[in-house]
Amino acid sequence: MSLADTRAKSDSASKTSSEWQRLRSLLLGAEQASLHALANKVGNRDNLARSVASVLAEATAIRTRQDDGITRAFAPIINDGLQRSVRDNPQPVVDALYPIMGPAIRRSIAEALADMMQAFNRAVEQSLSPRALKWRLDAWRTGQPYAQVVLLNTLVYRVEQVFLIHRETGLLLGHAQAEHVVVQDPDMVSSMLTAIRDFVGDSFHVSQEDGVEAIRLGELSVQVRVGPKAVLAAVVRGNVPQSLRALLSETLERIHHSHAVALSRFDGEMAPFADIPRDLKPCLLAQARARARVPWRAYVGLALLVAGSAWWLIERHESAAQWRAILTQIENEPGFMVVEAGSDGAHVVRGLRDPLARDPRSVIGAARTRAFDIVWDLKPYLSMEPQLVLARARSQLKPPNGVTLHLEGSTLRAFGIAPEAWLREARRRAPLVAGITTFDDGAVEVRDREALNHARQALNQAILYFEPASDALSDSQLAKLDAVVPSLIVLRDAATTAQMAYSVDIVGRADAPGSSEFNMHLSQSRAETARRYLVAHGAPAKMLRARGIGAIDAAGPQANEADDAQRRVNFEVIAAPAETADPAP
Amino acid sequence: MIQLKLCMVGAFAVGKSSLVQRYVQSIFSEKYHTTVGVKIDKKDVALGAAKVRLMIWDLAGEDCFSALRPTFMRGAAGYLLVADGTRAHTLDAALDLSRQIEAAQGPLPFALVLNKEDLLDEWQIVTPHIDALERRGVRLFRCSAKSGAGVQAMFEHFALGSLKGRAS
Repeated sequence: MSLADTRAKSDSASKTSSEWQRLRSLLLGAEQASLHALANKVGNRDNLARSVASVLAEATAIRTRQDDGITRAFAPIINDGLQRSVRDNPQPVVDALYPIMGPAIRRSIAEALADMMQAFNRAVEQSLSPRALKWRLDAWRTGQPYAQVVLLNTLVYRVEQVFLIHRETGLLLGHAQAEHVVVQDPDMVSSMLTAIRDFVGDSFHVSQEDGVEAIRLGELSVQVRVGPKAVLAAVVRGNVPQSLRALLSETLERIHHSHAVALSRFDGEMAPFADIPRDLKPCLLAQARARARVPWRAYVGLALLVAGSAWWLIERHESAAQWRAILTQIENEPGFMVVEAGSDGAHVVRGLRDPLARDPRSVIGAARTRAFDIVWDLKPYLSMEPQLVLARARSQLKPPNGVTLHLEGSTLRAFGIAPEAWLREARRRAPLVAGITTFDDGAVEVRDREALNHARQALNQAILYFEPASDALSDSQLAKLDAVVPSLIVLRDAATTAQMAYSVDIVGRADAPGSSEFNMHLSQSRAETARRYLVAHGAPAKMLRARGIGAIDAAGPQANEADDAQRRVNFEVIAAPAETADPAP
Repeated sequence: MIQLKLCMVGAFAVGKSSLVQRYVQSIFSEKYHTTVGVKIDKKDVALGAAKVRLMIWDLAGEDCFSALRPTFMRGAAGYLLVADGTRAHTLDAALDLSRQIEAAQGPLPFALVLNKEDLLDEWQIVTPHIDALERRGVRLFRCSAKSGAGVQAMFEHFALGSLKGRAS
């Protein structure tokens, strides 16, 4: 039942029954009054506002302690209000922010300047210090750009621990540590760090904001970032990169934002900060020192270079030695005179060569000829070296088989058996051969004419007789033919040495009786029989010609010969100068 | 868990460090007193249902050479004002320190600790004086760093008081 209804009914009741009214007053008077007052308070807008206003601050405080509902509800209102305020009249906001903006801007500028100075210092240090020289040497040695070497050496660091410390109490709000890092009790370290910062601040009269930002001990440093409510401290081993400083600042700002209420109301309760280590973990950066890499490529390259150079040198040395050997060979070879030899680019030999000297390619051998590809620039000359003089004599005198030539000084001596014709020619020509002044043929036996004559004689005297009308040879006649064969061979051989061509006509005859035709035929047949026999018994067929001449002319000088004597075959030796000389070397 | 920062202050050689030493296991050496001016120790205790971590800042004793650094008191849940029962002037010094701290940091909960209870016969701080302090509302503990008597109770009662004061 609403209060309004109650009031209405009570009015109506007062009209109908004053007794009821009185009774009610007697029974419920006090409650009626308070109900009336309550209705007045709630129903009346002014009264309601007044009563809410009286508890508004307390209610807000209680609710804020419970959760951040009020903050959420007010945030957009405050935003809109601020925007409108700035739009309408920015001056009050400017005035309000002025005391904060000044220091904030100054601090920001100071930090930027400090960073710049640090960068400048590093640049100077890197370009002038012995370490920089070492790095330059490293860069030169490893073939890396200098900047990369510097980066490798400067950005080596590891964040070992990160502390989030409540600024006022020095109590540890959160802690994160890298793996395998031995740490002291973080709570005590946190407090002690605060104490040290306070100590330094007190001792040197600097404010908390400007207090210790870094503590450095050898390669270990503690990087401190100070926020309004909390301090972030990072223990870093190695060189602190700029990016880490920025990350620490960002992390601290983020925590201030995400834990704004808990930080401002911090009373020692740790529950709201249970997730802080998770927020700190990303700060545990590390950049491992790049292992001193073995520049194996360089080593391999160097080794190859050394091996290549060595091989090249050896090859070159070997090649030079071979080249020298070739030149020595050529120079020692009779009939060569090396005037100039070059091995720049192409191998060239300039000089003189006797036409009778050996081919230079055969002098140095096929292998070296292939290996060196030599350009021979050789002009002809006459060598006076004994071998060459002798070779020239042989070439010009063409001694027959059985004759050997020797040189003693400038005297050419001939030994052996020689035809007279050759000897005669040799005597004439030998002194004309360059390098020979005297020809000594005292040791040459002249044998050609005698043998030839003997053979000719034997042939001329050999006569074969036949039975009438027969071309068969009796055993006694065959024996004569056998004796003729050696003479024919002598003749053939003598022809070679005497430079004459001998041929032998085997002339067949018949006796007078019979027709001349028959006789011609018979005589031819007799000659051929003899020739066949001779060829069959080793006579040179080429020089033998069978010729039948029939019966002897009755009016001729041999007409008075007996018939027996006319049935015969005889030999006629025909000599002619040799058409093709076939000189023996 | 709740963390509380407690400070130990008092004149030189009243036994602050000995009291702390009785109560905690320390990692920092005594030399911090003479260098930084404070030595910090930690003690985890269970006070009723609450797990509490006490960070005890043992401030260097004040003497003619070193003055108290009020900065170290900042954020403390309270402090223990230590005096040597056998030396009356240490009580005056302690009360003087208390005034200094209040001036620098505003009012902070504190308790007066009278050390060297084992030497009760030699005490110069007389009972009426003590009673007068108690009547003024000063919380008071007596203990002995030497025997250890009352040390744990002193720390934990004070911590519990701070805890309650914090909740209110």
